[in-house]
Amino acid sequence: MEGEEDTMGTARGSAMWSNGGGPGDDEEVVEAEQQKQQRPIASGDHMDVEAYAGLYSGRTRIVRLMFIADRCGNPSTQMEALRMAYDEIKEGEDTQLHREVVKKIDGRLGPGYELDHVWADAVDRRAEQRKEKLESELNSYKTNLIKESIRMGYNDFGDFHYAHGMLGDAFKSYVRTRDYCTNSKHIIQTCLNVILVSIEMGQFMHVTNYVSKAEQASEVLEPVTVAKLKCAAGLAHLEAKKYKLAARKFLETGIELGNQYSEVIAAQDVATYGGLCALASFDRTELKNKVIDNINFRNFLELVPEVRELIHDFYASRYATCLEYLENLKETLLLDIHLHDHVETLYTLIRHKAIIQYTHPFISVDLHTMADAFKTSVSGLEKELEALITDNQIQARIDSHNKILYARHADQRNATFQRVLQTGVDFDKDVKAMLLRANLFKHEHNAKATRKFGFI
Amino acid sequence: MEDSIEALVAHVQALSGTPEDLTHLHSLLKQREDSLHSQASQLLPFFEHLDPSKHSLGYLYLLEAASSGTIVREQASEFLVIASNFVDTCSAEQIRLAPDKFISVCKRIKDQVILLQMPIRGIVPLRTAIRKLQSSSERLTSLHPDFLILCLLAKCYKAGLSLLGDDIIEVDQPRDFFLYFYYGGMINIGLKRFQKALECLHNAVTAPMAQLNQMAVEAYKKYILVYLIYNGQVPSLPKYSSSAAQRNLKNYAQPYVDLANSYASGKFSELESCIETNREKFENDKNLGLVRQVVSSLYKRSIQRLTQTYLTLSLEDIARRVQLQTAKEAEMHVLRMIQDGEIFATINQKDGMVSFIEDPEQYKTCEMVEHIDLSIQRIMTLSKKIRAYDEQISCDPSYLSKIGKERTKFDMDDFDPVPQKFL
Amino acid sequence: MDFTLLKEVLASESYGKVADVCDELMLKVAANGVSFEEEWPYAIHLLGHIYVNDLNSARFLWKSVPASVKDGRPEIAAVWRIGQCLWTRDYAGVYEAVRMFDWSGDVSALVKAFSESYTKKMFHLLESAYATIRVADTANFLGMSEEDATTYALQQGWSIDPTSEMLTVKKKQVITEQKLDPSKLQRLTEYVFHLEH
Repeated sequence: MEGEEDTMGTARGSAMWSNGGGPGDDEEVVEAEQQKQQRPIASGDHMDVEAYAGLYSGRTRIVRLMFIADRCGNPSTQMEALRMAYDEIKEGEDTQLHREVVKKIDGRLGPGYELDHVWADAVDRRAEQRKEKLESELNSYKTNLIKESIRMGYNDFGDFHYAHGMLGDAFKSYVRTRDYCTNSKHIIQTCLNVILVSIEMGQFMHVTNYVSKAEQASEVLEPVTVAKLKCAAGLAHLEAKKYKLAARKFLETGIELGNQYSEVIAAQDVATYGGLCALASFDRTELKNKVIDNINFRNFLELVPEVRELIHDFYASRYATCLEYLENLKETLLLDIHLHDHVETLYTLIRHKAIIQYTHPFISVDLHTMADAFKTSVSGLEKELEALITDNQIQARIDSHNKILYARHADQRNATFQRVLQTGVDFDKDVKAMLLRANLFKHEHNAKATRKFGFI
Repeated sequence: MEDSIEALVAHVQALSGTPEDLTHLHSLLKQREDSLHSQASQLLPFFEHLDPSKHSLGYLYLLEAASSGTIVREQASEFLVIASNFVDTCSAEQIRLAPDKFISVCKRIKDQVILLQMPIRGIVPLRTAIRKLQSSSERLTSLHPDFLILCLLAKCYKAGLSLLGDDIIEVDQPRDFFLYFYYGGMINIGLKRFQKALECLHNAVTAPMAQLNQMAVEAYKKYILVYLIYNGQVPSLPKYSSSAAQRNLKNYAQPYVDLANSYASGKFSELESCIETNREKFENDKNLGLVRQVVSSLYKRSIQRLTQTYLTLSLEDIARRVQLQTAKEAEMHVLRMIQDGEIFATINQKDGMVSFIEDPEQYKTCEMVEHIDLSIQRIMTLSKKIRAYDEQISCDPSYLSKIGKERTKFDMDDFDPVPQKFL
Repeated sequence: MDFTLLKEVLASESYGKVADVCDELMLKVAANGVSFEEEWPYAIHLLGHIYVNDLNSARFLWKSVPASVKDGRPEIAAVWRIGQCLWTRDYAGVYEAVRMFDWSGDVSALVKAFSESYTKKMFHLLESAYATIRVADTANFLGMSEEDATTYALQQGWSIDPTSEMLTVKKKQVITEQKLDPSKLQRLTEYVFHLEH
């Protein structure tokens, strides 16, 4: 046992054990190691709401703030989010959202943050006028049958509804512009508008649909448009729990995205979503080729160093730190409007992957050491291993007495004998049953024939 | 009239020798069939003039006629003595000339022993009758199910095995088929030969049928239970099952399907509550005993799963994981499974640990070689049988005419590109 | 009823055949319309099943015994008591059931034979199922006093730790025959022939 403990000691020493990695890989690992020593892993118990909100624009900024206020356990963060949401809403024209946020604030932010009737009435009145104007304009365009004007008219209507929070109407108006598009640029504009509203409504079927429509609209799309469409597609896959496909889309997102899609997603999100989905669903080679060696994606990862670190830790088998990063990120991720529902699943998948990967190269593993690496108790680890072994994800067996996991090397010879004999038994059974059924069919056929011809 | 029976008896005595004589006698007997039936009650005295082993065909006609009416209780015993003796001594060649008569006499035996509440009396006669009637042990007769029901009623399950060991391949009556395999399933269940039981029930459940019948439904219920006991999960019906079975069987066995689902959860609480909900239905189906066996098999299943996962595990942990109260109970369960050859393990009382070991079979012993040899030979015989059957089918006139019809249809389409209406 | 065959089987101590002989005889006697229940040697018949460990058949036979017969002949119930203990795996109960009754002639011999073979089987089970086992448990499984059980176990090469009263089991080396005779080669030839044609 001592010898084995020794090898494991080295394995935990990490840098030595980046199997499959080239020299560059090792440098990175070493670099990451140094960085880690310099900078302690930030604990995320207090969220910088203002910085977060700054990443987004438009309606999503408000909705995200209100989401944080709903989910966050910390009252000061909650209040800050609501305050910002209130202020932000007042800049716009959505009186419905205004009423909602006031209800949530419930007077807790003092007199400055109550229901503003004067503002709301003024906005609603102006909206009524604007609507009439848009209607008459659209009608005249329609009588004149000028395609481009009609398209613009519907588009204005879409914008108008969107600004006032009537997402369903906005969706319809935007969809209608499609019939009046005269070039691919228009089609793409239509698609992006529909995608935006659909994401807001949580209708991801439409998102997938219009992403592919946009991609088919033109041979050459602007890089930033391509990037936006990748993000939208990624979100749709994420929503559908297709993590591998989601990971691919986010990983393919070009850096041109920058902050140009802030009404939907921030570049930081691309890094987080892509990174976590990839960890949860990629094998080691894919992780290396498509994430770690992906120069384009590296740009995104720079924006969220924790995610970059945890991916590298995972790859370098430093599971304890990887899991620590994940644990620290968790609270923030649970406040993310798109990711919150998937955090537990993704974390479980990543953890399982890590456990499987950890046990893979060994003939025997000390459960105490392994429990330390996975920040859990030995009995807890036993349960996790038990589930993974039952599920045939790990080929090993647990020596619970000595707390050691042993790799299971199947005896090919015996297994073959066993399988052959079983196949024989099955064959015997199946053939006899088949002959019996064949005879029943024959009998039935003959009986029918007798009935048919018996009286002629 | 009376002397005409006597005359017939004389014919029987005279014409039971050569095959030609028997053919002649058989046609005489057929002519007299109705009149014999009308004199059923007067036939009894004539049996002593005949030797059942020599005059089997004539004896059979008289016996069938004599038993065709109602048999009063007082006569039942006398009838049984005569009939049993006849079955025991009659000539197989002669009775096969009139198999329907023979079957009908044997069915009377079965009815009478059940009526007298002495089912055990009929077991040997029916067993003998089947062997005499069968041209081959692969052929199912109408008496097979009757024999099995007597074994079940008399609680002589083991006696039923003498027939169930045969591989049945030829069948005349689908009804016999369903009953035989249903009863066969029950006998095997009673003797805890679950694998054999599954084979029987499987045949009843997956047989070709235009619509569901009660026997298939009852067989399916037991099929689910036995699968749970034996294997832990119920496979879905194979593709070759009739569409009636695939579509509807589950609807008729909902409590059982629910039971299988709660079993899959691995939790006793869910299983127990499912049983509680459906207790009455299980009871009415007379399946409650099997359902109880399903429950206790869950312990086994959990322990078996642990052997796949652990090399060693403490008795305490086993108790906790398989939901037993104490380590001692866990020890007894493990011991029982070792005794029954269901797991390979060693209990260490000193440390309170169990070591699970791999199946020690190395496939090297002479016995194993012999076993493998026998398996190979069995499969070779089987493959020869399939080949013979294939040839037989390809020469079967009705098969050829069916294929022939389809063939000509194709040929016409192939070589006659101009549709008829244009000609 | 002609019990000659059964008597022969019992006399030659071929107890493994008792169940089959009784089964067949019972069916034949019944087929002849003889009412046999009152005189049937149920105790021997039950023991025959128990001896070959066919508890299912024993149980069905017990169920088919008429109530009047059960009442009139307590020995039958006493035999079934053994079967019940085996059925519920009440290992120690089996010995108790054996000791509890004053068995009559033939039954007594059969019970004795069963009891001896059961002890052997139990010892064999302990040998394969345990690495270490308490003296008290061993005595229970073997139906002996603790001293006798210890002596018996030590004779079989087990060892004892007197402080913990724990026996360490000595696993029997299983010797398996691996010789092949030339007829196997002949069969192999047949298989190849089959595969090629």
